[in-house]
Amino acid sequence: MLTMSCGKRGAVMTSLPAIDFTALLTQNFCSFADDMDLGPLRVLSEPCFTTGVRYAAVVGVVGAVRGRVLIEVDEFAMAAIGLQMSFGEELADQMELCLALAEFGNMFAGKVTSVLNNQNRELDLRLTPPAVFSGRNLVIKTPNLNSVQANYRQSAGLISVGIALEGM
Amino acid sequence: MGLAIFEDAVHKSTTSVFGMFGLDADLQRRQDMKYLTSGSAVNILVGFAGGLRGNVVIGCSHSAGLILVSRMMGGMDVELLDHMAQSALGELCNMVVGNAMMDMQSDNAVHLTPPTLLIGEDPYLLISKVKSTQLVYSLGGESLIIACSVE
Repeated sequence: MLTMSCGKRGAVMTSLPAIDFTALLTQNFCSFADDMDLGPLRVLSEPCFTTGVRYAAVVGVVGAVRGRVLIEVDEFAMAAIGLQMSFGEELADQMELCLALAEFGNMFAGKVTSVLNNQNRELDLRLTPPAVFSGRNLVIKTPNLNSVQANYRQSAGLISVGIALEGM
Repeated sequence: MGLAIFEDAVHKSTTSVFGMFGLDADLQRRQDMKYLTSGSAVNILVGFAGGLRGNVVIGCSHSAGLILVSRMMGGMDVELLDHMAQSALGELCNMVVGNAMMDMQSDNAVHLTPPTLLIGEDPYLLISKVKSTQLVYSLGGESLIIACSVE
């Protein structure tokens, strides 16, 4: 569905299609994880991250609406993603693991934004380069934007994916 | 558009925006890095795409973050990086990057992402896998890092 509205300065702005973003996130992440051979995923109602180290890939979204796509993983899921991204080669170096997660996040964000762009070409969503952050007790916030999140237990560890866009 | 031009624009913008809040950001050093990393406790990330594609991160300690927010709120005592403080820090980063982009006068429109705040213990941040630059400022005795990368 294409929705047009007038912006503050009288310019015509394109808004997001009226879709269920939780379903968009869930369907696309499950098929993406399947393509990446990450094994079965179990849906969790909460992120359930422990106090250990967590990694997060943030990919910015710009276009008719702005926002970000976020993937958070614990160290075990991070190792599993690194293994798949390097075609079975174990990555021991933190930098290499971060680069693998950055690319994983970039691929997933590309998939989600492609779905949105295909539903409404005028959105013209594009991605910024991914940034990866690691630490304990992580707080990641995009102030003043609504977001939806989906949480999974993968065979090795925990994965949480989220999307926040203007007008959601 | 080269990284050096962008770095200069970010430095000019930082001086100007911080000056608006009566903050004197004293540039200590610039350092080129093969990868762009940051180890600050409080990080504010703004990405951009369009005519230019990259990321800028302002990284500082908790106490430097409180100084920034306090000055942005007209000298009010700020003891916590709560939702309002996080929003203020995000706006600060938005202003720095937005001003720098205006100064760059890119032929094509550059769109900024909304700021994202990343706060944590023992942090490690990998912002870019391309050659990048860090500007290290002293802010009232605290260190503040602005990391820039353009692809």
